[in-house]
Amino acid sequence: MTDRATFLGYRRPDGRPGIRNHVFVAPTVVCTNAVVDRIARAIPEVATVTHPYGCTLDPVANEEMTRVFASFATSPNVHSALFVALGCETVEPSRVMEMARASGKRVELVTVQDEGDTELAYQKAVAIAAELVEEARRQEREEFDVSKLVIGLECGSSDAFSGLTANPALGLASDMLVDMGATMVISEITEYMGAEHIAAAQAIDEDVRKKVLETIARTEGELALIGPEYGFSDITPGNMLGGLTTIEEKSLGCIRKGGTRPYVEVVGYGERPTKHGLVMMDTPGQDIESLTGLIAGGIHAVVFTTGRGTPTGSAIAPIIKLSSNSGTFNRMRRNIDLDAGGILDGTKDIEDVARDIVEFVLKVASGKKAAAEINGHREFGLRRRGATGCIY
Amino acid sequence: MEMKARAILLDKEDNVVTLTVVANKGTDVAYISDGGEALIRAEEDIPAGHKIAIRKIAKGTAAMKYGAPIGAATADIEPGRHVHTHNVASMRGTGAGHHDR
Repeated sequence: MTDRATFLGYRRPDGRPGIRNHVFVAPTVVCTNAVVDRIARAIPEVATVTHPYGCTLDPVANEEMTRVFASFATSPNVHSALFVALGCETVEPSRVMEMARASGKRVELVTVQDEGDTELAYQKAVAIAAELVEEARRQEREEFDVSKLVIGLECGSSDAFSGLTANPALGLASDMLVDMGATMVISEITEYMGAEHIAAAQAIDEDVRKKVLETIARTEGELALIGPEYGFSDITPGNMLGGLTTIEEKSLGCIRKGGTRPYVEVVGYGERPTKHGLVMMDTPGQDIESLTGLIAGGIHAVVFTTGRGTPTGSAIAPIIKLSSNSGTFNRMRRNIDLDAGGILDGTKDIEDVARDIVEFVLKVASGKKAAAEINGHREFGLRRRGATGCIY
Repeated sequence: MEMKARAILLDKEDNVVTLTVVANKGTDVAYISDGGEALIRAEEDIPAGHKIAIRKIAKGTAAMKYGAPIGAATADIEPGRHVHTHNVASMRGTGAGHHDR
């Protein structure tokens, strides 16, 4: 591996090259999901999500929905986008369009109440989607430096081996990619409880150190609001079956996936990093909510470690799976890309697996499909405000 | 199949080790400590990935893994015993967490 590693990506008007060239199609509100589903059936190449959001009396949630919808369109992995609106929703389609079009790429809107009905809206939208797919097909990959890559770090359905094999290997891979100039984004703040002293010591300066500690303390405060009578469910039944006893134990294993390079910045949910290096994003521990935040923050792909095995993916970003043990890898071969189980039986060391990860990330950046993409996983979910009782 | 089960000690401060394979009651569990092999006899059946106490953990004191506290013992835990949710509880998530280190 040289310092001048490159990948073959797609040039974008805002200067952030993509590793995929998706035409993204989504509803601005739950009410038009069926129109988007019909487009997905008619043109399988489009990257669609459907969701239960888009209309709420909560102004803070409304703002976050608006921003995240637009950020999926501006993702470097998206060539162009099409939104299907109803016309009366609280997430104003005109604002989504304005924010999305700031990226310089083509973003279109079809509004059901303006077209007449869903059939007329579908006819118009499917024609636009076909045109965008045709445009995307004409674009070719070009060579870019690895320093343009922004990669998310995630773990889910963890077991006790996650902190011994997959997470330390991913941490070393993260260090290697940071040293090559890439940006790595770690999230899931709930999984810092009990390990904040390590994260604080890794902060690049006093400002970042304070922000790291404040972010973790705020998250713990929100969780405490659930109330002691519910016993603060800090880890899942699957985590416990896998040998994890408490959130402290889980956290101490989880944060190893961030490696040892300094935290250079803390960004909010779905916000874009402004610095190169290791970045912390403020998300809950729930996998889908965390992944959605990372993708809205402009990451290209995620390396996701798993102990018990999870298949999840995204419409627009490859979610690369790394298992902590070979039993899970062998059971879920169709869902998991890489295995760190060799570290347990002594056939591989942490450095071997870290090199496998970096190599695989670069291949995926140049077009190789991750298992979750092949399997068609397109999960999408926004964080819930306040206490999130579910931690993966 | 080897006669001895294996486990991993992550830090010299730790009072638990993590089993890489299942340990049946009466099995000696081997782990590396200070560059040499140490043994702890499993006093009950313990699944792979789970923790076994290598020292006594008194009620109210911390179970240590990764060189850090992972929770407080809710009962006295003798060496060789399974360390899990039945005898260790989290000290976090109550709003009273410590952030001063």
